[in-house]
Amino acid sequence: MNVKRMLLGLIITVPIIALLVAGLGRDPRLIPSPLPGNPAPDFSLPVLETAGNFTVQEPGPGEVVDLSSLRGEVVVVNFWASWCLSCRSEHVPLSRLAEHYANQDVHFFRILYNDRPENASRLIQSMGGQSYPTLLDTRSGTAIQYGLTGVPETFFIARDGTVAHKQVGPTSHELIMQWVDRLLAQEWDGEAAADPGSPAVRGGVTEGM
Amino acid sequence: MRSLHWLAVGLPRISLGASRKVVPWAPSRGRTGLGGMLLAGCLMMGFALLQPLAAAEQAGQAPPGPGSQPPPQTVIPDPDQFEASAPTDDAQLEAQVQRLARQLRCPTCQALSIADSPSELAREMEGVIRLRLQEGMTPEEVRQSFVNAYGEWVLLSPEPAGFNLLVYILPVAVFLLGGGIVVVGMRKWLRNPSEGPLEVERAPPAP
Repeated sequence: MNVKRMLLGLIITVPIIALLVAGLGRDPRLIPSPLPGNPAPDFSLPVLETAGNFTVQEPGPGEVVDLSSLRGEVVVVNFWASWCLSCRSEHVPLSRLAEHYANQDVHFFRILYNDRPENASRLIQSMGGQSYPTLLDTRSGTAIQYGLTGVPETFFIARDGTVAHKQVGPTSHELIMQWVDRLLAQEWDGEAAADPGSPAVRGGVTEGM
Repeated sequence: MRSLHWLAVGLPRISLGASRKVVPWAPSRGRTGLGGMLLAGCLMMGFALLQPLAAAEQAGQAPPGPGSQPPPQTVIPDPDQFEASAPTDDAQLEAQVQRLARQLRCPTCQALSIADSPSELAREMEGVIRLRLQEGMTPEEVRQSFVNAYGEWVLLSPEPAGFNLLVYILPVAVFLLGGGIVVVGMRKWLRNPSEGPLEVERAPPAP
């Protein structure tokens, strides 16, 4: 075969095959987040009333939680809804870990997304209460500030107020512990770079580090 | 038409060598024939593939890792709960809201803008646009606030910079190249119709 024809054929087909491989290897449902490595959007949200017994945290039902007042402490924010089955599986690990870290500089919050407060309260009570507060975001303004695309999604916020990690999909006991321990030990350097040693691949889709 | 002639430079040698006698639409002398059409087709296909890739690239999208899980649930079953800011009587404000909503991608839909999507999240995002404009933010500030939260992915039209430029340049380039191939081929064929495809169907000379 003519060498020139072969070369031309390769020039045409190789880029197309490369494009196919690159394009078909992507998950179009995975939406990247620019938040890891950047300051967490501040929120000031009321605590859901009758949301169980907060055994580990100060704010009571009806009080307002202001994220900016928690600088210097690690914050775990979990977006959820009572109609979300995956969110229910996170209830026990989050509640237990909130108790586990009760005497350390860690705050756990759940933010209710697109759900009726009474439905959330009923579910929390049916699951034996919750050791930390659920906050109300009635117009989803905070959810949109955090680039929410669905629930559950969990954000790990470092002491300096930077989003260290975003967990899309259900999280796990191990993943939460690893991130919280890491942030408590201030091992996170504030960069949203790839870190092969991070616990990122344990739970759902990971973003950030 | 002559100005397009340069586009065909290099093409005369790309014929695949198939016999013109079995390719009745092949132009005379087989120079810009099957190979040219193949090239044009490949370029078209490459462009079609590049468009979504460019959009993904501009958002820095990474392929899912081996431990990837399905994305979170996005079903919103309780429409009564929706409390987003409702449309107002201010026509100018609503026009601005719609203009911005048409530029922003609905996160829970397939290639739909917020303005076109019936999803609850899209309605809430539209409400947030309205609220932010009412609070005094400029349309550009509102647009940027969504980019800050969702990344450039949220823009339906990627910014014309860097790799994204391909999305804007390639269609024109492919159109010009394809048009040039067609024009050059047609001109050659019209100039020498006796050597065109009909030649293969001509009856053999009488003995």
